[in-house]
Amino acid sequence: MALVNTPTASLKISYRDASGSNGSTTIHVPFATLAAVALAAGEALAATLPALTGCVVTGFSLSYDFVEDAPGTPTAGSRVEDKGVFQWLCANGLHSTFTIPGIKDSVLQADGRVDLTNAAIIAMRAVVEDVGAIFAGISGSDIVTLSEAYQRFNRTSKRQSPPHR
Amino acid sequence: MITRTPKVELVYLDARGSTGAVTVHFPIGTTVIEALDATNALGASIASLTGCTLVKARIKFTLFEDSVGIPDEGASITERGVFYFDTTGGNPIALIEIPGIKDSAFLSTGFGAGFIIDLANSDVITFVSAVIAMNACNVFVDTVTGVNVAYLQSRV
Repeated sequence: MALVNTPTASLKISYRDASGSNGSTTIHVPFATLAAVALAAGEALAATLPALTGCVVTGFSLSYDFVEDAPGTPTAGSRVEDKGVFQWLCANGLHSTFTIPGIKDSVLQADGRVDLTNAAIIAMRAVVEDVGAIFAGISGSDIVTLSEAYQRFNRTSKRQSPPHR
Repeated sequence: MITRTPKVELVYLDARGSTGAVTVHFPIGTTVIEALDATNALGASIASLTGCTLVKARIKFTLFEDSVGIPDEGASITERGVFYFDTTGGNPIALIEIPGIKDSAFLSTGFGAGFIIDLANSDVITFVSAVIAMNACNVFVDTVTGVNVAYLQSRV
């Protein structure tokens, strides 16, 4: 089991028209293209567009996609709405949160808090927090430590509902 | 342009076929290799915490315009300039669309006037040159070598 990259990275340029609707242009580059190089090329390309479109460029993104080549089978009864919420303290004093879908009951306490003494939780914290770990909050500030962790049930979205509901 | 912190989305599949994601950010300047290494480590550590299974991941870099202008009156994303590019390799087509294509990009006289894009137009040449310069390719990694034809398509 491994994450395998797609052949290309994709550059998506976003536009807004006079009605407020959004559109985009997608351009592929070889996967081995460095992000800094592709982003610089994207800016250069975006600079050529105002002469050709009446829409305005609102931004662009560069995505590198990977697929799991041998995904396992989800545990029976697992639900993505059953989340583990992990709130982290960053070096700049702000918080950053991510959620883990389908959190296992075995890492939870009876009251819904995450069991911080669980070995799997300790291992995950080490990956996120330790010196050398590059994970950050949306501000770019380094994640320092786990602040809160608990179970939360999200509402099922329309896309997640069974067909014909 | 303002750079946002890059992020990775790890997408998980549950027993009902629904998907959910873990989204974590990286500092600006993080390379794809560094992000992938961290993603693999995080994915491995999450595997024992969830009953869902990891199916895909996306590392995403985003820039957004800090001074967005005003669209031209009547500009519509449904009016698209569709550019078919020649490529190397056995898959000879790459397609790039520009929403809201301006009338000034089209041939103004003769056959195709008003809907075939004028490949001799200087703005079109500048755009095509930028596409080639960035080493753009199609999804099969065949490199773009030049534009073949371009015209208007309505996407209503």
